[in-house]
Amino acid sequence: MTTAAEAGLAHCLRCGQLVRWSEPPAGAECLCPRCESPLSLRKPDSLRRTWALLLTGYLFYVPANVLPVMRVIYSGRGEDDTIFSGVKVLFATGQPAVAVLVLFASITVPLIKLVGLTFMALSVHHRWDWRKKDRTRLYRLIEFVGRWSMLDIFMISILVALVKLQALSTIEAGPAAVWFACVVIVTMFAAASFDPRLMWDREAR
Amino acid sequence: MRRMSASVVACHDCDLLHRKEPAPARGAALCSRCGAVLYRSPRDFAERSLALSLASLALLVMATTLPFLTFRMAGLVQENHLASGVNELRRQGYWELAGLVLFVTVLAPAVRLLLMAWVSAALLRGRRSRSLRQALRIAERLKPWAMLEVFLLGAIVGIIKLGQIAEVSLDPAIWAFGALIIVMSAANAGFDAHAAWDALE
Repeated sequence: MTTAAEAGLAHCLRCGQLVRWSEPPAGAECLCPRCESPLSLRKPDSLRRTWALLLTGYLFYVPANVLPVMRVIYSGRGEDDTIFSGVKVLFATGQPAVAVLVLFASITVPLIKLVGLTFMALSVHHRWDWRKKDRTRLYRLIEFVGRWSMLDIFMISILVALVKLQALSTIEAGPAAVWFACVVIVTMFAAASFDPRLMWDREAR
Repeated sequence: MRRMSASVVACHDCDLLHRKEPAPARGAALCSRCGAVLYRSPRDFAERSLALSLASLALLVMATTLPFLTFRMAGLVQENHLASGVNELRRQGYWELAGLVLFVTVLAPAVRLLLMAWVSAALLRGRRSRSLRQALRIAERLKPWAMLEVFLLGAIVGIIKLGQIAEVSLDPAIWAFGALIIVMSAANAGFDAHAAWDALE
């Protein structure tokens, strides 16, 4: 059981090329000889970047859920919808399957990403040794599932385009939509900056 | 920097080294420690992925130019295109959302499909060059940002929501869009980036 790093090899995550590794002089950068992407033994500054992006994600998560995500104006009267009240409306109007889908995509998935990545970053910090395989599976799940939380943003873009019947009925996007999109993007970058190989390194960090 | 031969592969999730052995036919080689997919059995994928990515591009043009949905309420009719949402978001002052939606539903998929078609065509003719390698790198980087299937699901949820207060009818573009997602998934599944890297070297 030898890892590439132990064998003195750097693994290019973009194209899979293995390269005999030598530390570049300070300030210089190594490029993969095949695809010319930046090359390193582990993703650069992985933990620090992941923590910074996670913290940003948590901060954005609050306005994303508190502020209105869209405003429905019906015969002159406006009504604000948050992400959660949108789900409640779907439940109340007898669309439980769709309600569960939206609940999952817009509330559960972002939370799983934030909490899951926090947990994995902690596990590297404290060099936990248990269930590495399951933690790596969790990482793959988070990477895979992240994009689906964009669902709400797309739904809003459909609704605002369709419902603009001037005096009768209009739908406007709300400020939370921007915060929510930021949560999705920031957590996608957080997942990309986390290096699951750190969980397997004996001398983590 | 010295490159290692192609007979050794490292796992991208746990860094374990493996000697490269032929994967089972139509199967994949998994990491013995963490279970990640290391590589798939070699197939001639270039011809198929060229056809599928060109077909996807044609469907993408149809999905973006034809009418998408029509909304009827109290005698008023509102027809819209895929880009109408982008326009309306921009008009309401949410230009960052408009840009994001445009990027992940049109630009990223279109550029990725064009580059995939180009790389596949070059593989078929046995060409290799630095610009082809760059095209492949960009195509792979764009992969997570092409979110057409998420968009379709969002559109379906929107239609169900509106279906309760008014009549929404499905126009040709939405069918083109459905077909696009099926054909593009097949193009993505068939495109073997690892094999393409080996062939472009």
